[in-house]
Amino acid sequence: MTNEDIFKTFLDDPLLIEKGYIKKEMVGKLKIIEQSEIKLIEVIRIAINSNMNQETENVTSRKINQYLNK
Amino acid sequence: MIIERIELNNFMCYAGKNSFEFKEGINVIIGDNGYGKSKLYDAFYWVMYDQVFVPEKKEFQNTRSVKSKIISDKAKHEAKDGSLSTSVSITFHNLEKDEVFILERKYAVNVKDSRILESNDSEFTVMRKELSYLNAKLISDEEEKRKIVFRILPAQIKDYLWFQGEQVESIIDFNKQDTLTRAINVLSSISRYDELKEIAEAAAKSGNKEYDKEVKRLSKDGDRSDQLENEKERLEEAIETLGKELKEAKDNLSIAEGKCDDLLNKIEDAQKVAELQQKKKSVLGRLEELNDEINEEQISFHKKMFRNKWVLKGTESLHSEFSEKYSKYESIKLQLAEALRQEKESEEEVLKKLQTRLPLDVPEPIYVQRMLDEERCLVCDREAKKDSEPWKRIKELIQRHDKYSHKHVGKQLTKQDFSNDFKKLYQNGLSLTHRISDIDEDIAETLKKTTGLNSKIRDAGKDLKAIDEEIQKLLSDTSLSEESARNIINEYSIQNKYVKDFLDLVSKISQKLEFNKNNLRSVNEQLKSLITGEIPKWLIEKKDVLNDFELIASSTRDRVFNNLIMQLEKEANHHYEAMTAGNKSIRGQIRLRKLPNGNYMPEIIDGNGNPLLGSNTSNLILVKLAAIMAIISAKTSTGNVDLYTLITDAPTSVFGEDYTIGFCKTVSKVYRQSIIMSKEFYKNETLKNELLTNRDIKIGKVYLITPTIPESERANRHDLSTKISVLN
Repeated sequence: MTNEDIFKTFLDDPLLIEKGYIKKEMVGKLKIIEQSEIKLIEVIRIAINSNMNQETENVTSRKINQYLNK
Repeated sequence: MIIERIELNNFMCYAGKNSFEFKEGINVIIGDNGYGKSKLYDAFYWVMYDQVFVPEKKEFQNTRSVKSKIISDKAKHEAKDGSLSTSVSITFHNLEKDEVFILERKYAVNVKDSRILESNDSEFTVMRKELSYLNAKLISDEEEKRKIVFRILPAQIKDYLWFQGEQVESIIDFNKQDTLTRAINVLSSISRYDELKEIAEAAAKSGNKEYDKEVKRLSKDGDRSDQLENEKERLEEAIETLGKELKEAKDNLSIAEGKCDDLLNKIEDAQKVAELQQKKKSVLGRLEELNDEINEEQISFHKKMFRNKWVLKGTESLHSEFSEKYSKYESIKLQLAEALRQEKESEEEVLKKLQTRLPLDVPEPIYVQRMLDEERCLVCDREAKKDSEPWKRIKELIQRHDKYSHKHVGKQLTKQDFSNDFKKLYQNGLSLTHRISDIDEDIAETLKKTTGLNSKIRDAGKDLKAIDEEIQKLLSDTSLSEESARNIINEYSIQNKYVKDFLDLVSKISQKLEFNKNNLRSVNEQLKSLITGEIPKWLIEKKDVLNDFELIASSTRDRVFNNLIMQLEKEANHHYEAMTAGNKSIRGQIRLRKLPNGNYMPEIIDGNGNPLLGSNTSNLILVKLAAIMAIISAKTSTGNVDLYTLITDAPTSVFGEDYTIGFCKTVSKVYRQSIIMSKEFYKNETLKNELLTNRDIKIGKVYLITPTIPESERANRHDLSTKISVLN
């Protein structure tokens, strides 16, 4: 399973739309290789890529923190 | 990567040089028991893992343990002084990259004076060839070799691709609830979702901690905040503990439910056995009563010989004979009495006559005696010489008295008088005679009762035999024993109670958990109310984003897993239907049932969705195989597992010939390449022809292997080798 596949399964979660993070029509347009302005989507992207690169949990947490503290 | 060839040199029963070529599709090695199928499986396994299966120990052992046993007996027998070796090489072809890997394992010993000097270890070499560039490289780095082996067949999926028939049970073990879940984890990417879930949980925890710190910093009442923080910490700990308890309770509930389900399949049979045993007990009781009754009747029968005078049966004539004789006796007696009377009368008559001459005792006896002594009649004074006529006359006078006076005194009619005894006997006999006529009826009644009892005993015996046969058949069909049937019923009752208890426990813990969560919410609200000023928006947003990430990671993982389960269920049913298509028995459908602890268990259901009880062993094995195949086939789209070859030794032996063709069809669809060792095709010519001609089976190479010495005649294995014939 590729990163993109995993990313898509996360985007399929109804909570993203319910909580207003994205609109339904946007779901198909988002790609893991492209950055977005939506913080939750970026966090998911960082986590998936970091996991794929077999980075430790601490490293991933630090990356997410750095992003959200900006 | 497909296997192109395996070459065996002096390996076990494969003496000399032997090779098998393989193609895509299903490759079949046909041979009866003891023909060398398992040794071929061993050859594959030995190359990859330096181990062979030791049947006596029922385990795989390293070369270091088995040593020269892996070398052909024929080769050892014929060996001259010097080195002797066995080797197996497998050629794997990566079709996508057009590269070839040749993995070879070799084990050598030294022979000196017909003695074998064993070495410990085998030698493993890996050759890599790039066909496009026509180059070849011998890999010397051990780590690289290990990586290549792992690439060819990753350890975690090895069990699902290389297995022996009897291992199917343990690969998908219905008694272990997480077996399927583990298989899914191994063969799917679900573990990545699990890792992402953990990342999200850690991130959310860190975000919440940062937020709480800020809340505390901005508090207007430090003491109260500390108090609430402590309360919050206590509640969080309690929630964590309760969460663990809840998980444990759910696990236990799942185990109990799993056991109940497992037992449910057997309980019907066990109950039948129990009912039959109860019935048998009742028949045995009845039989015992009847036997007691008939024993009593036997004793009573003997007593009746005398008590009921049966002994007299057939003596009816005796009494009449006796009566006749008795009557005759009495009659004779009467006649004798009459004769005596008449004699007496006549004598009295004579006496009367005599009395006209001389009265009795006249002359008196003393004078008569004197006359006799003097030999002279004193009356007439004449001589009467002794023994003369006159003397005799005189003597008559003295004897006359004796003769007539004593003749009838005490005279008896017979020598012995049995009249009284005979009379008693007659009278006794007379009373018995009337009863003799009833004896037949009495005996008939008794015999009727005995016959009735014997008939009942026979019937009970028949019932008992029928019940015993039914029990034995049931036990044989269900592989139960009387004891295990009893245990199943007891165990089912215990596990049912556990289910109820754990359900109660889950409910109680859930309530407590909810209560603590509400309290935690309240504490958080209170902490929030103590804040002076404003928490930075970015921090609030960070906290919310991370908590939502945790929620999404968790729900995404569950959704993906559930989809995988649905897909697996669909695939498993597809394979199960295909494999059982040729069989008429009820086969049901496979359902992957979710357990309270989140694990899934395969079960067979009927058309109404109810668990199908009493499924036969073949079906259960096929469900397991279908589940394994589903895991493999569900992965084909991901381009991961489909490149591996299935190698299985005697997989069809566990479910019989009826399913063999279905199995081959399915295998040839699910696996790009498979190598199957089977005896079913050896025994059944029709089956073999179908294998070779059926268009639904993508057939590779088919071989027949035959040993030079039959297994039963292998006391001397010095000439043992294996003949390989290609059938297509």
